Amino acid sequence: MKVIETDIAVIGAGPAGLAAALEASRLGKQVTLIERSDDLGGILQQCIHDGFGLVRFKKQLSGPQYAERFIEKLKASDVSLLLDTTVLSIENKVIRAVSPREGVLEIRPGAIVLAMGCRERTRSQVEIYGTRPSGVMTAGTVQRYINLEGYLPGRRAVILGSGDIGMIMARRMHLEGIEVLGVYELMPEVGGLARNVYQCLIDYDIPLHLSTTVREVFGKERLEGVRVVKVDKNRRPIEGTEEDIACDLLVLSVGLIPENELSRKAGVLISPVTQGPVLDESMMTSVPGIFAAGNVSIVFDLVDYVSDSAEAAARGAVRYLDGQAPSAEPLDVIAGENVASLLPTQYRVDYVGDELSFYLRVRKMESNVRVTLRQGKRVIKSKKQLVVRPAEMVTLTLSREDLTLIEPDTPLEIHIET
Amino acid sequence: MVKRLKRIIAEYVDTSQFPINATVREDGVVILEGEAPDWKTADELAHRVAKSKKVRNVINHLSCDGKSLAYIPKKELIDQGRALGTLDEADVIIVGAGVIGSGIARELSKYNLDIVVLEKGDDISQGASKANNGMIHSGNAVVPGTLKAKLNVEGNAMYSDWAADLQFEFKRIGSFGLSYNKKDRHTLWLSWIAGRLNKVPGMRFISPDTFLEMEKDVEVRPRRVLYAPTTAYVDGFEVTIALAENAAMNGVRFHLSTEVVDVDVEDGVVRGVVTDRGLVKGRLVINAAGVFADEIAAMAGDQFYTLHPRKGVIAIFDKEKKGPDRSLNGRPYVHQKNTKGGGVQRTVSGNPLWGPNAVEILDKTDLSVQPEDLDYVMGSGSVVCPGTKRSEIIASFAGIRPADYKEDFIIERSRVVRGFIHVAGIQSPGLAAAPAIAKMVEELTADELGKLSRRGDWNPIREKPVVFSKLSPEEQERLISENPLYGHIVCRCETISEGEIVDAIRRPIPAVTFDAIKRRVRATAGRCQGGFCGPRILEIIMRETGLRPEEVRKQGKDSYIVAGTIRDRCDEADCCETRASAGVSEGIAQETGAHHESD
Amino acid sequence: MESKLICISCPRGCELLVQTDERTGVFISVEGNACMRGSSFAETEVNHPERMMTSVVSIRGAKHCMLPVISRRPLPKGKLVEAVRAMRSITVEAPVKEGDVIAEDIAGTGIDVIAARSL
Repeated sequence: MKVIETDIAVIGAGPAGLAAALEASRLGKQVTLIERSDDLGGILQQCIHDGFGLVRFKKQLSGPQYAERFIEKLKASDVSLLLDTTVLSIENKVIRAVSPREGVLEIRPGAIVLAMGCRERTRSQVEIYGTRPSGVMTAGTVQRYINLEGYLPGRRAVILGSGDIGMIMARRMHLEGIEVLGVYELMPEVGGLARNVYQCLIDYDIPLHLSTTVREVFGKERLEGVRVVKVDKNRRPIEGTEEDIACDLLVLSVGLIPENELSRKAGVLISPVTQGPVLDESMMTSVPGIFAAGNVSIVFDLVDYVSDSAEAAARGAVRYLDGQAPSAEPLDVIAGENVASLLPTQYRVDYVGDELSFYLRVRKMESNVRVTLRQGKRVIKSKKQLVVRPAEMVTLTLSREDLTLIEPDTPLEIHIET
Repeated sequence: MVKRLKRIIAEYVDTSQFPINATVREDGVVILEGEAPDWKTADELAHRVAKSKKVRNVINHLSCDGKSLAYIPKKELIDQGRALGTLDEADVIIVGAGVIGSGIARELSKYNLDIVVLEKGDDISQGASKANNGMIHSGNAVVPGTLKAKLNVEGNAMYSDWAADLQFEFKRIGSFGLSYNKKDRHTLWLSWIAGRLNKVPGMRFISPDTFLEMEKDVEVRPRRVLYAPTTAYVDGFEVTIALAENAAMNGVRFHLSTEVVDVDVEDGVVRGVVTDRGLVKGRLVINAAGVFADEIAAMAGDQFYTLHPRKGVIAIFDKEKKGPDRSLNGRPYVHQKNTKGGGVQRTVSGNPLWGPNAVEILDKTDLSVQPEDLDYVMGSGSVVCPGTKRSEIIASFAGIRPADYKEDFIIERSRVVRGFIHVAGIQSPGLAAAPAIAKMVEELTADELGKLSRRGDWNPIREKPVVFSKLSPEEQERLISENPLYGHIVCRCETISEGEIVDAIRRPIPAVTFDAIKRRVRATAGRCQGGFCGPRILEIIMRETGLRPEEVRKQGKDSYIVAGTIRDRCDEADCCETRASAGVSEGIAQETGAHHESD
Repeated sequence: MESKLICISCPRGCELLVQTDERTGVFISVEGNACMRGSSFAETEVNHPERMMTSVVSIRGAKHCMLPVISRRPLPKGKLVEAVRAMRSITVEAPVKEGDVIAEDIAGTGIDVIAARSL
């Protein structure tokens, strides 16, 4: 069994892992980047549509182009790469991994950055009855089949869920000659960005049905059809509104959740708010020396923020190794009014970074609001926002000066105030 | 008797509106014909008729909306099969590769007999054998005096040997019957009495405290607890595959995707069967066709029972979910008829399993799950695990119990034709009884064919396939150095390597569909439900079998995974990702290594 | 004439209210945009709408079978379907560098299609 000693081990070479590895390497640490597949860039390589990188590069890049910018830098860096290497377990900060060429590896890092990304919700997490035929797939799987493998996943498609990937795949399938019969959304509002409704659905006359869901699937072998039904405001089916649609492909775009399999094995606490690990301001988990980056920490809407969060995690890991990690008792950051999910969920007052960004997602759309971070009755930071939507992440960035206003005793709260 | 039958019918159905005809055959079999108001009524009526001791069994040809369970010959397939000529020849033809057919095949493979198993599905274990709760019942839930009761208790005891020889996952940890109040105490006493009469070993009442000590996750304190220590748990599919593989190792030939459509009988003697892929000649046909066994019997001219499909839905939860390890049965709610009730337990892989329920249906292939099925399963399970939400279910599926109206096993030589053995009505506890059923059929076979001579080279051992994630790092290291495919993890949810998937494809009964691979190695059975590993498994199946992308199936001939391609795909050996891994298996790791670095 | 658009220049997705000439349909003015990109999007969208084209082409001798590609500039919207169709008959040989021209003057637009990654 080969043993590898390294300063920082980064698990996953998607956008988060690439950014974390580069940042830690830039700060002078020896980094080992572990990737399960034989390719760098993670999910970006199958996201061939454009729209990435506006915040970071002021350009609308496609997924592979965004990845390429990091991959080029990585090749020029001294980050050691372990491709085709799957991590099996993390115990006491010792990583055990396997690869076809190296066999079993034991990696002993000073700090770990978890960057495994997120996973899609599946059929079993939505209430769909009926049979279990082939032809029911998540949007990400369809994306992989078409964009990476060149397969035709079906000929007549219905999409359940109006998440961004669902809408983007509606357009992509349409352009490849698949008949897209409609996008069905359980909620009364669209799940993804407005611009995707415009450029993916409206552009190609693909109908969007809100407050409507797929209730049942038919077909003993291949999918033969679905039954859609309208739902009331409590999301219960309205009898008499059922409609059967013949199709051979049901694409599920019903949400993403942080990938927790390894996080759990490593023993880190999982937050019921983000459904990812509990993280402090330095992106450190409840296990000292284990950090989380990108969609492991919270599902971001933009890859640019994924990269930012990963760099923050890398800086946290470097400070940890240098013995400068904050050691104060963490204050909880509480998700307040209309906040569905937020990052970080803990803050330590002896944090020494220059600035700190809070990322949050709202439960419902509201206009003319203030995003406010409070400590007790005191406002630490507040900013005006024209509109907040569940599909879009809200950021609140605190400068060093803002951070000094935080007292070491009372929990922090973030609210969307109308 | 006709008069009595008429009375039974008139008591239950308005015969002025629905004229129902009952005929009594010489052999005591009652045939019901006519139009019934609905299937529930038709089914209940047949059950009431079957209650009479004088009735040997019931053939239910009652129809509802033009549908019935009457056998209709598949003329086109029969003609097609006859036209194709001989597919195979053997001494013994076993119809159906479920746990019963495979168990019989393995038992008979000890002898100098040429045996074929014909299975219409594209994998073994396609019916009730795969869709059950995996419980090896102790025998205190079956009516004393029945064949079921005898074989249940015998079969349960024989499982230890099966598990040792065939190396499937087997946990003999017992089960509990519970009562919560005075009202349901009665049910518990009945199962105690049944257990005593059936001679269930070790069964006894234990104190609720002992019970709560044994099942730490249970919070609701019962009043009385009946403990049956011999109850065990398996994965029905794994048992079946182990039996079938061992049978195949010992020379039994399995023909998958081969449907028996007729039985050739000449002068009252069986000559063979007609399948959709040609004729199979043989001296003895063993009918282990699950829910279709009544149709095979009809083909042989000896139908004396109808198998009425009774659907049961099971819900599976994440391994992390708390819950009892052993089956808990008996809860303060009204039991459904004709079911062991469905409990709360854990699969041998550690997932909590709830259910099944029991619903009589008319379509033997209807495996759909409806909201009311899960209402029942959730309702019953929530008594033991309160606060469970439906959204916690990670998978639900339906199975069909092949029940006859006497609700007992039918295992006997045909009284009408020579060379035909019925093994029908094997519903719960059929999995538990399977070893005893195989033994019994072994004796019936000797009765049919005369004394059987034993083979000298019979090997009862089936070695367990590699389960990479359960090995020590040293063993993993050794395995990868022998075959690098074990170092390539394909399924991240269950940690399954490419090596294990290739093993499944290359074993004695090849797994070449998604579901076949799922049942053998659990790939696509995890949290992502195949979203991540599906595309990789598709590539591996293509590489190993030479199938085109659109020819790869989930399960069943129309269940394609992808419909074709959107672009030309390269097919050079050194080209794509997974094809490169094939190179690794052939010992050209160096080259692929270089390939990676050049990227 | 008044019409509503959603700006696709960034994830914010501003709702734009656009005034166009009743007769010619030509862009006059826009409101609702949060930045300058919004106004130029609105003008283009009304006068000659355009979209980026992203697709894949076959590649030989690489570790994947498909190479992602992107148009160097946005294409006239009406040409998009034709352009994607043209990608079906293209096969390239590895190695390819990001930015390599894969197809010139796609669908008669004068715009090139380039590789979106190295492979």
